[in-house]
Amino acid sequence: MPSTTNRHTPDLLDRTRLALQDDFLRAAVRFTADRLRDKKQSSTEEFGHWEEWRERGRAIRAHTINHLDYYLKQFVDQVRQTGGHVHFAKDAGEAVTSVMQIVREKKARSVVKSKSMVSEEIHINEHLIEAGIEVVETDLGEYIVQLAGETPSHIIIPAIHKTREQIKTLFTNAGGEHLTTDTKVLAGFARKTLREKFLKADIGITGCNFGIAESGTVVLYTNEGNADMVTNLPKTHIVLMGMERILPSFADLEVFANLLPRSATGQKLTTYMSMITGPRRQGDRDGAESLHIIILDNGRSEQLGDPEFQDILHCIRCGACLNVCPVYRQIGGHAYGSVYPGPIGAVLSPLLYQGKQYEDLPFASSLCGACYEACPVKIPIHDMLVRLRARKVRSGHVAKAEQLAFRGYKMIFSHHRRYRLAIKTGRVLQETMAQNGYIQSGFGPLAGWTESRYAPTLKEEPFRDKWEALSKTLKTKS
Amino acid sequence: MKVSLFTTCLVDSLFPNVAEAMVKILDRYGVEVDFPHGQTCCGQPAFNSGYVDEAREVAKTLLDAFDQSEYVVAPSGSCTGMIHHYYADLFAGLPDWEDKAERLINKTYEFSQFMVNVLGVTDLGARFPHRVAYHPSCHGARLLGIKNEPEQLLDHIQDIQRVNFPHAHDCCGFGGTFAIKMSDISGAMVEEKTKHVVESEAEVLVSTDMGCLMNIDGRLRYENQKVQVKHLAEVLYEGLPAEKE
Amino acid sequence: MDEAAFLERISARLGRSIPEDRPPRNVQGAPDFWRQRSSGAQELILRFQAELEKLGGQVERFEDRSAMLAFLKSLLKDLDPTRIGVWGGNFMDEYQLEEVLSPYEVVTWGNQGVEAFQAAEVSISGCAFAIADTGTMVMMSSETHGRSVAVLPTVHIVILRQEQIHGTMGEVLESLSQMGRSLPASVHFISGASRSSDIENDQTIGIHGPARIVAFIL
Ligand code: SF4
Repeated sequence: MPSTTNRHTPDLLDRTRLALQDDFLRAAVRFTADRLRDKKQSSTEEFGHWEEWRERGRAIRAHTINHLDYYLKQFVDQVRQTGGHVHFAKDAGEAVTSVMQIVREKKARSVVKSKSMVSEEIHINEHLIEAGIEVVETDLGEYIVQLAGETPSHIIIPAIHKTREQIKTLFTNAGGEHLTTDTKVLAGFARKTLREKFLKADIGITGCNFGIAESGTVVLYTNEGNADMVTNLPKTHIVLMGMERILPSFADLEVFANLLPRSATGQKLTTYMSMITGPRRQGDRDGAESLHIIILDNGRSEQLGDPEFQDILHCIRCGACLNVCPVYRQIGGHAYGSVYPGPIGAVLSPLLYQGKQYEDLPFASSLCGACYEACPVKIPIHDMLVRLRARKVRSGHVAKAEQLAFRGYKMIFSHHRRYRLAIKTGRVLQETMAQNGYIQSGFGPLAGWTESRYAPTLKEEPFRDKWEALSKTLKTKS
Repeated sequence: MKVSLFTTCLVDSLFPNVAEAMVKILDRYGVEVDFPHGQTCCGQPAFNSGYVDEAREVAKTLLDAFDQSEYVVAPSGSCTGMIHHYYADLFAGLPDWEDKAERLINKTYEFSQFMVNVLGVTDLGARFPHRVAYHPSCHGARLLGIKNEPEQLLDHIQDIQRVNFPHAHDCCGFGGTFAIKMSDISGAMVEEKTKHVVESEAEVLVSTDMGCLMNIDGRLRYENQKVQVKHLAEVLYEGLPAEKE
Repeated sequence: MDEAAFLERISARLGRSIPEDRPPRNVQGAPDFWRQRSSGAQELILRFQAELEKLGGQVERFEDRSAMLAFLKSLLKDLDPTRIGVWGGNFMDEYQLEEVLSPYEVVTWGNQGVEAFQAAEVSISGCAFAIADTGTMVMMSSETHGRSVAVLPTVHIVILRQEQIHGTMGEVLESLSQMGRSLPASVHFISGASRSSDIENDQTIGIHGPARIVAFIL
């Protein structure tokens, strides 16, 4: 794991507590999330037939993932025919090795990057920096986050948690003179500084929103135009792509060009949609001379063929599930402690990295299903969260007390007499705690609940005990 | 028409008035109601916590209790959603149980859905002269697919004043064991929900699920707010004119 | 990891060997209702204009070339650039730009490259297609049509002919699909000016690419 502070706080509960104390963070996250989801709402309403488009998107992704071997092979063959190079990486380590090999071959000193979640996933920056290479993030938000020594807290709006004051300080430390907190001034500094970086960089690294199998094309969406600088100016272009990022054809791309920007930012289309097909052609005077595409597995293939989780590979990383998530809204992205935050992260992180590290994330959800409703490709995130909880329970990585509690639940609730008796007993036990019909400060499992609200009390008579008398008063009888 | 009441464990033990209101309303419409005593809980607390086997054992109480029923009606979108959305998988491949589960799924309704879609009633002739806000429960709306049935019922109440509040569709933070396990986050969620409800100046907050209402009510009382919470069935029942015998 | 092993792993997880033939599909591309939409030429122009203007772009329509040249002349006077970058090849001749551009230092792509264009404040180019639905202009790279022409300068002026305007992105994508191996290295869809909302959600224009986009429709 990287050595950034926001990843290292050990435990999910601690991280959420920290996040909940950060009022600016919470206000900023709420503000941005609201804005994005309102814009998404109005843009999908204006577009119309949204459910039909979603279903279309789901069906195309399902078909593609079900035939991923075929389409990936087609993609790779096409890339090679255009003169591009392809590398396969089974995990983060292999992807890093491929990148570093290219860096060495090209004797590169500096790298510019455009936003890529896969590059975060393999922590390439740290490896490059360790090798003495200058790495510059060029998406404005990513640049801010990089200067702060942090990681993105939203997959679309990386610096959602930073104030303009903080940004001014960061830019001043990076050499900006006479800066104010005015957006234009700050952006102007970034434009000038990053332009110089683009022009002198040896290598550009991008992610890949979609790889078109029929032509070997890499499709990138940005609003700033940084991806165009990154793919255009340095001599070498490295694409880091998850192996599932494939679409069969240009015709399919139309569906996703409609789904992705609307879901991500509520735009009809991002300012730039850039398609890179191979390295620059003979006679071209710009564009990378060599193109390397690194295709990453890193736990993805493990989901294939698993009826419970294969659909997670349909994800197009739009971030819509984050923007509607009531939990993300309260705690922001860093509290998840993973490269992928929010609902998608709570599913993807424990799936990609088996083991205990992210096992708790699926529990950071009230299972409200807002993510599923927002998802442009209809991934049942809420169901997957439940399945991951079950997986954790099966693995036995749970507290003994919890196991006992649910064993007790089963014992009591699997027979109505035991259940009734338990209510009666509970009623007696609660006497000491109840005040005016509420438990105002509980202990044990109730302690957390009553920290921020009262708990109800068991009623004198459960409904089942009232039934006999009640049924006699009813007029409809058989 | 015969309806078996699925009270849900929450209503049975904590909010029996809700079930009573529901029974009385159904009775008015000539529905014959019974209460099979074998029922306990839909299994959701365990299921959503990952304890699938435990959930299944508990869920069996419903399959047995309601196997002979014509209709099953529950004052909860969440528990009904649990049956509709998860029981098929939960009992897949288990002889007998599988069929029982399918039968139960096909005949189980949430209260407002039953009223509007089965009985075809939207106007009960109730009167409720108060400012009322409506909180759609997440499981009711998203898991079960309740559309505007509760609002149809509310809108036909005489003298009711419906008030809206921002982010009504956002989760209140209950989420069953989530509220215990992740009580900090859950607490922050209910705090935001309550803030919006209070700002709406509603006198009563209505929903179709007592889980949400229990959570929101707990926060309202903690803050010492005046807003009351009521289940939809309670509002309808309280608003009904006295019956002429 | 080598390719074969990588792909075999996928096939194995999917429980079969890699299909030799194209997998049959019943769903491809946009829904029928969407593909069947059609609009007249005039409507397309108006839609393109409205959409691009919504994105902060400027759209000017001209009856003929001389009207366009007159407008260009006054626009450039306003902008007062020292250097203007234009597409190479016969682009200047096609629209007879020579005279209007004569007061300025002009660099043409192909003769010059990135270094020269980096210092150009204004660029003038054509485009391959335009899309009415989204106010988009599509650039294709070639020897004379460098990618940098559309991204380096601060103001980008695009001259397009009305028959280049299509209704949907799908129509343009279909043309790309038909190009097969002659597809250029870069196809660039531009909808409005470069923008970012990364600083406290406050939208700012011209963050990396052009801050102003002007479309001339002939
Ligand atoms: S899970 Fe769905 S909503 Fe979330 S990022 Fe992926 S595609 Fe978008």
